[in-house]
Amino acid sequence: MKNYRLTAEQINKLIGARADRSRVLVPVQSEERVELEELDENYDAARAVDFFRPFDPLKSLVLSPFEKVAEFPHSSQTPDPAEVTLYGVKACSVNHLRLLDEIMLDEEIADSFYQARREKLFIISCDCQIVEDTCFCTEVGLAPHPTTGNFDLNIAHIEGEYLLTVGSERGGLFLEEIGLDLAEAGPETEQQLEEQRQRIAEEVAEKNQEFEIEEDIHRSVRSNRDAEVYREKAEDCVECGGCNLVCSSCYCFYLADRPEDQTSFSRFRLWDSCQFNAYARVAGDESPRPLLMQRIRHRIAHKFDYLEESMGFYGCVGCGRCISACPAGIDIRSLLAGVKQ
Amino acid sequence: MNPYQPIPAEVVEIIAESPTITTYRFIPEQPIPFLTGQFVELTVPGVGEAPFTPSSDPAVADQMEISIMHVGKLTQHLRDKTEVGDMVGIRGPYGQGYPLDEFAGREILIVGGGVGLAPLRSLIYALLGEIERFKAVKIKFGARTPGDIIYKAEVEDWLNSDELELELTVDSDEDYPDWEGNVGVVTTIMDDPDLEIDSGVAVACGPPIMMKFATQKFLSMGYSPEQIYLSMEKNMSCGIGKCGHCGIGPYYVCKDGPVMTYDMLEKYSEVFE
Ligand SMILES: Cc1cc2nc3c(=O)[nH]c(=O)nc-3n(C[C@H](O)[C@H](O)[C@H](O)COP(=O)(O)OP(=O)(O)OC[C@H]3O[C@@H](n4cnc5c(N)ncnc54)[C@H](O)[C@@H]3O)c2cc1C
Ligand code: SF4
Ligand code: SF4
Ligand code: FES
Repeated sequence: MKNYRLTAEQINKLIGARADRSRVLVPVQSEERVELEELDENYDAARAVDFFRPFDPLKSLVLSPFEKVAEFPHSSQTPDPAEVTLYGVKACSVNHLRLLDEIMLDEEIADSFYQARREKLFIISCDCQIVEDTCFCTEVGLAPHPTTGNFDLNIAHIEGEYLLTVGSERGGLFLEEIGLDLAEAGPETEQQLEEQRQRIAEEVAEKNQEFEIEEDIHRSVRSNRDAEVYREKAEDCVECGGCNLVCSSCYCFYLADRPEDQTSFSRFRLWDSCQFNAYARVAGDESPRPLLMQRIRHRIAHKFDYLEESMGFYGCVGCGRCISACPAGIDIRSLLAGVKQ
Repeated sequence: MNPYQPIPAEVVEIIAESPTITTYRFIPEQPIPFLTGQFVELTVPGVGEAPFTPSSDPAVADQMEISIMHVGKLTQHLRDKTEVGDMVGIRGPYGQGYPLDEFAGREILIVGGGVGLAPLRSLIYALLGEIERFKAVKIKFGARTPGDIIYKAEVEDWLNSDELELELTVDSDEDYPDWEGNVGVVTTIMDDPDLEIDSGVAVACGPPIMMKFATQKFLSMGYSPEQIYLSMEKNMSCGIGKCGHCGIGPYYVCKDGPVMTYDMLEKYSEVFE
């Protein structure tokens, strides 16, 4: 992949050019956290390269929390979303997209609603500069910069300079279109980028040393299903489902029909949570996971065992959003530490 | 294509099979070809949607029969409110059905109970449609009482057929003095000294408890987990491997099943729950 040098001014131009083509969502530092907001004229896109990851789950842009997906007997429900550019996305969210794409764009049957939005989503990611206590991407085999594709453009900030990487054909075409006249970065700058990336990754790893999370988490999750930690955490969990809702690797939903009259109805899709007892209920009230402990285990097993087996990677990217969201103070890392044998 | 949009279908016939099971025949607005063992999502307008396996001959695409046990909200609504001429919605078919090509040339042991006979009837139609491809077809059906035996006409035909073997049993014949057949759960009639087990396949469909005991019996008879085909039931919503509800380990029953071999399932404790 080619890297180009970029000035702060050019970053703002680039975002401006996106705004001519699409709706643009950008990270904004609010008092408590970084949030996604609509781009406004005074926005300094260059400064935002360094912002911490936005809290908002990216999935809400591609898998709406609540949407009509069908009408009966006949439907005019064909999705036709507008173009959206998402700026300042961090590697963890890019990795979320990898999983969502894998599930929703399955060759056999794609989710047409997801597909339509995904095709209109332009991703400009930025290397992480700020590492918070909740970050643990390195502990699940990932990194604080995009490593798995799934972005259109990526910007990294190194010592007063910015580096632009083109991640997709679409990203390349857009660059050509706007004619920014960019110089290619030389091997020295690339070396510098490498070193910085390594340094920040080490910072993440250091912050997580106390948890002593092992490399092959899936092996322990698979073999140690009776770990005491599931029971312990079940005592604290209040079953709010917050951990699922903020996690863009949690894609579960259910369909519900609303009657319009005797013979017609509208069908809606709503996010769901595997921490709720009703989630896996078979017809009626039989649940295969009646105990909260079993549901907590299911959440961990799905992310670290089952998805590892079916997709070859984990259903957790180490973004830490669920850690910030949990009112009971449950840290997914302590679950992983507790499962270890 | 919108995968959540059902195709309108008209109810054209309602057949009472037993006190708890009814077969509905539908004509969809456009044909819905399916492979035996695949399932569809059936919507009753305003009530909701649930997964069912067509019980009709997969060679017929412009009509579909579904046999339904009335156990809860949607299925009882069908019994109490739905009449010939009403419209329902069908989407599908989904999932993996019975792999007939893998069954070819082998002896097939089929074990069923309750409404589990629904997918099996479709399977039997499919087998009979090209019976020369299979070495032998041996069927063991169980019902609670003689009055709960469904598909009476077909069962009669199959009992008299020389293309397959069918044996019946009931859990209890207390109020049926005329019953001369076997009494006992279905596992009591599964042994058969003539069965070719090493090269055969075993198929089971029925309530979870029956599937559990049938599977144990298959294993003790000498079938290996890869030779055992189970029709799995799990809570479902989307039917297409997206919503997460029907997971067993790394599999989604709606996509990787509903017909699954036991070697895929044996290590997951939740299988028969
Ligand atoms: C792939 C697949 C294929 C299926 N094929 C068929 C089929 O061909 N025919 C068919 O009738 N069903 C079939 N089922 C089951 C069917 O989907 C459920 O029975 C249905 O969803 C029940 O919906 P309901 O709204 O009526 O029940 P709910 O209102 O959800 O309540 C069901 C009530 O009945 C009880 N109950 C549920 N299931 C059973 C059961 N099997 N036996 C005894 N009690 C039960 C529950 O404990 C509860 O009290 C299939 C399921 C799957 C996953
Ligand atoms: S489980 Fe928590 S840390 Fe892992 S991806 Fe989801 S929100 Fe992020
Ligand atoms: S956010 Fe915390 S309290 Fe809420 S369901 Fe998840 S683990 Fe339980
Ligand atoms: S029913 Fe939605 S994933 Fe299987």
